This record gives sequence, C-alpha cells and structure tokens, in this order.
Amino acid sequence: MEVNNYFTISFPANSRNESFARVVVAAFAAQLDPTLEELNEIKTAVSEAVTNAIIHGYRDRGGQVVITCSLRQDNSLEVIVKDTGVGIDNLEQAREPLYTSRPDLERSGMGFTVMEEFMDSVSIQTQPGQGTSVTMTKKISAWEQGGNEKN
Amino acid sequence: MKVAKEYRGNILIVAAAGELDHHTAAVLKGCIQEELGKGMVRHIVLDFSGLSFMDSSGLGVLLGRYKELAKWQGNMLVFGLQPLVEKLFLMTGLNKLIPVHANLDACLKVLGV
Repeated sequence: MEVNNYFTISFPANSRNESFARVVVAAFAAQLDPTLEELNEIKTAVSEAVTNAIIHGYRDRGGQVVITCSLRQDNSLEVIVKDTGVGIDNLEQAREPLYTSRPDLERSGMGFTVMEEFMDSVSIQTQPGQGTSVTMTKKISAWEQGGNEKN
Repeated sequence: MKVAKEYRGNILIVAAAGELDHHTAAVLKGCIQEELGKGMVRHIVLDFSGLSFMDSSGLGVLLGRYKELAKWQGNMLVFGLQPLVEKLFLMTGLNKLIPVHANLDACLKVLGV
C-alpha cells in the first residue's frame, strides 16, 4: 500500500507520555478528516498499546517507546507501537479478554480487546526478551460524494 | 484529571473530570480509597459528565473499587457518560456491574433516596 505521509516518534516509557502519544497520533490522523468518534477510537487504541509497552513491555522500569504512523492511499491509518522490552510469552493468552499478567496492578485485561474493537486490524509481533510490536490499521470513512454530510 | 467528592448521607458522589488513563487512575483510586477508609461509605455514585477520555486502565480502577463495595453489598452507579466512555462501558460489559444512568437523580432514586 502506497504511503502518503508518515512520522516516527520515540519517547521514554513513562506514564505521563500516554496522553502525549494519543494526542500526537490523533493530530496526525486528522489529515484523513475522520469523525470525532473515529478520532476517539484511535486515541483509545493508542493509549492501550502505549500503556502495555510501559507496564508490561518495560515492567515500569523505563525504556523507549517508538510510534510509527502512516497515512495510506486508501484513506487508512497504520499505527505501529514498538518496545524493546520483555516480550510476551503466551500471545494467545495475552489477547484473551479479561486476562491480565498483572492483577496486582488492577489491570482489567481488556487492552487488546479494546484495540481490536476500535481498530480494523491488530497484529502483534513479539519475541520473549526482545520486545513487542503492535501494528494497528483503521480505514477512515470517506466523505460522501456531492454532499457535505459524512456517514 | 480533577476529582471532587461530596456526600448524600452514606452515598459518596465522586465527580471525575478530564482524562482517565493509567497515568491518572491513581488519582481517582486514591480519592475513593481515602473515603472508603473512613468507613462511612455505603454506595458510590460516579459523575463522569466531565470525563472526556477513558481507556481500559479506567476499567481496572473502577472494577477494583466495585470489589471493595461488594464486601458490604454496596452499589456503584454512574451517570453523565460521554459517547466514547459509554461505548467502553457497553463494549466491556462494565455496565452490568456499574449501571449507567442519565443523571444524579436517577442514580439516587435507584439507591432509595
């Protein structure tokens, strides 16, 4: 898929950057003219992936989170959230709704479920000891031809 | 995130405004736990009318407080959900544990006030 525009940012795995990360991606995605609902869904999915990187990938001990975001010709957004933390031992289990590896932190275990619900596709590449990369895509609804109203 | 609290008898009303994520969850948790520690809370009503964002970290902190209340069969109710937050409640089934109402009066009525 041809890429029309992209950016990459890298920031410390600190919880105060969760808000920063989702706002940056939303601001970039605004180029596709999404609805407010679509923007909010993107923000939520990014928040989940970045929080996972901070809490699970880096176990709250810090590191760098890298986000690469592309706008593609079919009016879709691709967001890749990458960490070089501990990786996920059992990916199938991690994706199950309500499963959490950190019940001690009052995690709901719904992070991947929310990402899957709010984005069109979510794929995860992980290697224990090397890190995790979450790739999410979402197609932004197009303006109706000849009208000003969006579906 | 800003949190305000008030009482109607033994009902704690907590108004949370801003964004509820992993970073801010501790603020809401701390506020509610402080009140629970005083031993006079029977039920909790959440005013989320000023809450513009919430992710699954918010679900976690609400479930944690719900479990505390369940120790004495206390109820937790919420009102004023913005569309994104409501979607999260419905999608995850959290509304089955923490029922969603239109306004404070509706919540208080359920609690018999």
